[in-house]
Amino acid sequence: MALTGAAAVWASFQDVQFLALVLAGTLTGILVGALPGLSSSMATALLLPFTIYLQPIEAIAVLSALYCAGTFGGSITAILINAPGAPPAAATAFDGYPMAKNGEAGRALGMAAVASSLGGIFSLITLILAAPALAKIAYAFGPPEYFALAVFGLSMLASISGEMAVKNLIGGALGVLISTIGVDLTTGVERFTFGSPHLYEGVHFIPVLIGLFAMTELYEQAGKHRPNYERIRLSAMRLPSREDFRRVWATILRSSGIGTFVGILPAEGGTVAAMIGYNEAKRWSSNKQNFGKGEIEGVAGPEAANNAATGGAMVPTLALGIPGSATAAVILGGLQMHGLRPGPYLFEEQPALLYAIFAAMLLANVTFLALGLVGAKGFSRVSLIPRQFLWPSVFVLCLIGAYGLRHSMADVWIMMVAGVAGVFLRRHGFSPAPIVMGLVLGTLLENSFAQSMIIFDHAATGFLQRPIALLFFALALCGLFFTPAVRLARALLSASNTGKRP
Amino acid sequence: MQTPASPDSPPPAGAARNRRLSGAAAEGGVLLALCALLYWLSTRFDSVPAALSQNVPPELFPRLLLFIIAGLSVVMMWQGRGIAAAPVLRARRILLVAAAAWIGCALFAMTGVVTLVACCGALCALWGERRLTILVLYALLYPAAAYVVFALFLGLRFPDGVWR
Repeated sequence: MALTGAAAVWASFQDVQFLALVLAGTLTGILVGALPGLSSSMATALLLPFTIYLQPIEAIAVLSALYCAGTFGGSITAILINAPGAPPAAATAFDGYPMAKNGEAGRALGMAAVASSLGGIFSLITLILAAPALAKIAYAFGPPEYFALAVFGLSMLASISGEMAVKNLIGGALGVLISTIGVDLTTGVERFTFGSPHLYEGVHFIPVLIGLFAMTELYEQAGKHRPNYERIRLSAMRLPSREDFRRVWATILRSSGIGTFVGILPAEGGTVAAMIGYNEAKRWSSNKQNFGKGEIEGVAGPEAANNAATGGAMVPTLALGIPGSATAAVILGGLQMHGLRPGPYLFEEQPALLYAIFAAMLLANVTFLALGLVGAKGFSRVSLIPRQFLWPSVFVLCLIGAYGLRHSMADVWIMMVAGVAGVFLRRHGFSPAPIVMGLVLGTLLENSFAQSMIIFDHAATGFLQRPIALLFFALALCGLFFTPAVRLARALLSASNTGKRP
Repeated sequence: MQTPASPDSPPPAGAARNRRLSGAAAEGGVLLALCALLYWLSTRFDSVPAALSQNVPPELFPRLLLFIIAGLSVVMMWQGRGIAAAPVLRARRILLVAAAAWIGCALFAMTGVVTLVACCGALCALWGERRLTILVLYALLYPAAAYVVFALFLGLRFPDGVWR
């Protein structure tokens, strides 16, 4: 089996078109990641409708490569101009930018590239080992278990951000609600279609993705003044020295483990992984006092973690059909768009696709290391692209992307509505990612719920007789109430301590 | 005797508190109103015999979601008592860009790819480009490149509109 897999990966490397597409995806990912305002979620959402012209294997490979490279690309501008190109690179700027100001930009970028690549490869190995094992477990899943799993996945939205937990959950539920628009497949009854035949088949998730990620950002950028970044000169990126490696190997290993684990958790993504990676790097470092002033471990920690989260996020996405992050949700949408069903049957029926994804991600991790080392100076200059040309170009791509999917103007209008809704939702603290997660999981959630209710003869207590479903429900409750419970316990402890004081 | 507050002076504590309350309440209020509206719409779904729906009527799942959203909205309103309201959208350029984008979409159905030229030009100008030659070159070349890639290479059919 392992030999077959290795042979399939090797065969992918010998396919020139596959290599060219993965390289193009990697290059696009680095460029998009390096551009403040553009993120890998947005880029994959924009690219998704155009992948319809590719074979499914090539399409998913390009999206996977873009995902990996986009996460790394954000570190370039985070280090050189203190403006993270993507949210997962925010923690990298804490020490990367001070290092650049101290004249060590090349060293910081070299460490970011190496740590990202090692983190990505670590998580890819985990993906190769864990995803098939998880998929085998999923053979035991029936509709009740899938329903419970989807509920668990959505409940994890509460833990993305403690302050916004309720808003994330509302966003997730709104996404699921949007997925109910259209004709109910069981009964043929129209729901929330307002009599429009364009809505009979439901709201396709791609125009909503483009609207929420790209159009919303376009409107937000329209309201911003061009920031004046202090640009640090970069002579050349250089590989970390042996002394650097000696200092950071444990940090990279730890952060890779953290990033992979956080990535595997449904809904958690690279941003959370990077923040934890940075905090843990600081906690275990013997140079704590240097953090924030230009500590190399402060660059290695978050970079290894955020790239490790990409491979981790693909584990539940491929094995269970539950996205591990916002970008993984878009890739999951891509799988569905190409008629592929994620889960155990994917591993049985489409092994070539899985090996292509592994190959694409491995290639992307190696390629962005090479491209990063050679072309960091050039990539940092993409932030100089004038906004007056960048954002109109993005709008044209949004328009063509939404229209080209089904040659339908209705999809264009859905995108426009989603874009405006996204602006208002964001202004009021609702992130687009939970809505997208809910939208992508909505069909699975409703179908598995309906099938479960039929199995249980309309008695919801039937879920209590399914141990795996109960386990997922218990995990969902933990996800929902763990943070509030800890806060309450801390508050009570603090109150009792205050009461004891004389 | 109270002196009138200057425009720059901070609002009184009570007023700030009220504004915060109204901000949190407004968000939840909108969501609750939306839930009520959608619930009402769900009462107007066609009814089907229980045998056909297999005891899972089409309105069951959406209503379940509406109850969850309503419940969470109440929690959000309670939690958001001390959180300041989001600033009102006032950026003039956002409104202009949004208007241009919506008009562009409406024209896209009528004039197809030609609209892209107008969109690129208008949005580029709204974003502050004042060099006419560069603006015109961009507005012509970028849509032309998009047309070559998507229509000629990928076979995408742009709306014919009035050119049919």
